[in-house]
Amino acid sequence: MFNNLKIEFMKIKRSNIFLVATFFPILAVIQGFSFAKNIKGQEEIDLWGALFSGSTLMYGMLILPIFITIIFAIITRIEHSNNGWKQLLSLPIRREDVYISKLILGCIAVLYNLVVFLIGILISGIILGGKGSIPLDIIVLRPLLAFISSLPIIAIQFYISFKFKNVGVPLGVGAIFTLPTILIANSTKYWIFYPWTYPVLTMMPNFVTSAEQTLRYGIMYGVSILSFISIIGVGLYKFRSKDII
Amino acid sequence: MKLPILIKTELSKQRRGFIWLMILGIPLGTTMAMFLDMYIRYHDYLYVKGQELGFTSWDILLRENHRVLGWGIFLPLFIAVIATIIHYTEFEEDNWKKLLTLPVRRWEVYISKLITIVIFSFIMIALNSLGLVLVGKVIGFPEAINYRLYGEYILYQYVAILGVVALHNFLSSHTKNVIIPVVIGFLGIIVAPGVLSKNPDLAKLIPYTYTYYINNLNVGNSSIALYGGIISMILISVVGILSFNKKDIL
Repeated sequence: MFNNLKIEFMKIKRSNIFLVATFFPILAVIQGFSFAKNIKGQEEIDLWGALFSGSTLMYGMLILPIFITIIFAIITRIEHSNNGWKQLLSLPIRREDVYISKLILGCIAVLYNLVVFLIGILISGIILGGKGSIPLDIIVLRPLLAFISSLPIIAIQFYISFKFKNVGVPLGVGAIFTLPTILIANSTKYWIFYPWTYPVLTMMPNFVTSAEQTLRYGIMYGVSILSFISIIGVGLYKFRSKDII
Repeated sequence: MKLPILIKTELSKQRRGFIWLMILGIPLGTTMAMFLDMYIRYHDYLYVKGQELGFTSWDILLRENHRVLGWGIFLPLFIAVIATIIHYTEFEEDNWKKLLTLPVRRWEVYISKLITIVIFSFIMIALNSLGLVLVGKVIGFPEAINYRLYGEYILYQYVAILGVVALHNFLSSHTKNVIIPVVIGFLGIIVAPGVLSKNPDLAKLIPYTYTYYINNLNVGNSSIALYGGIISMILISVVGILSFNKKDIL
């Protein structure tokens, strides 16, 4: 498995995945920085909160879901193009190892993206001269929790990217489902049924205001993990029986 | 002049393709999202707010679709994906060699793809607006539908997206990695609002911003979408044709 993972890393070394993973969250941080800079100096402004809020809306709503779409499209496209599956699956390696190593690679890229985002927030806050202690529970914990809440999106995009050779399908599906995110996220009743809202709602500070919402958030994390395991399990089962031709 | 035949061929290639997932799925999704939005917020909030601001229900629906849902933001990204799908076959099946050895002029091949992207984009835009009309009828808006407003909304979008269509036709026909144009489209829609707010003059030069100017409730800005769309399409297409003519067949 470790060898497979190493090989998968080598395959994407020249694909600029990590350049994309570094660059995109910086755009969100720049937006948050600009927002916080504009309101800096106003009385009773929580600069760290403003910086984080200004960055997370675009990041959680748009950048992270689309990034997940693109990452898994790139990872699976390597084999889809030039009949790479035939060559790969005729090698003496277990199919489960191939499947899981690609999934792990994608998850590492998503985690890296989140870490760049939170480091960007920290650096921006320091540059802006945010007063008081750094609210690590918001700035560090929430992006990491966003990884868990984005697991359903990861699983769905991974499955679709594997299943369809035409790269337009996962890209189209990812774009379609990202579109109504902000609308559904504003609904206190229906957001729980739409996984694309989970990352932005995880990261927005001060959103949990009642016991009912706390319960819904707990359900959200549970649904995220369970749906991830289910979809990945189904995908693995189908991949094991995939015809090599 | 083989252009009509080439366009017909391009459309035939997509007859059973996944592009219909985009063309039909996206408007269906926006219709459902707008229905949900109106169902939840129209009677208690949006209608009252609209009355205060002097907007009709149809104005509100358009605004919700374009700004709140984000149709105006995402439209360039959808076009990027449509362009990717249309060019996908040529790169994946190595069809460019076969296509460019045929006795057809290269600029006709290039323009046929451009027109195909335009056709599918137009269908998607029209279906989105038709979906809005359907939502309004089902919800039961008290005012009569403003056909002129919705007609203008569709037409303005048609022209505003021409620059993005030309740009992504150029990118997709020149880049072997089909994902790069989509990444650029994604970058465009992220950067566009920031440039619009910080440097409105620079924003007039970026095709990804033109859909932001489509706001029938503030007609003064909409002409930028028209001029920008037409001029950027002409300029980018000319550059694209000149570059495509020199494309190596290998």
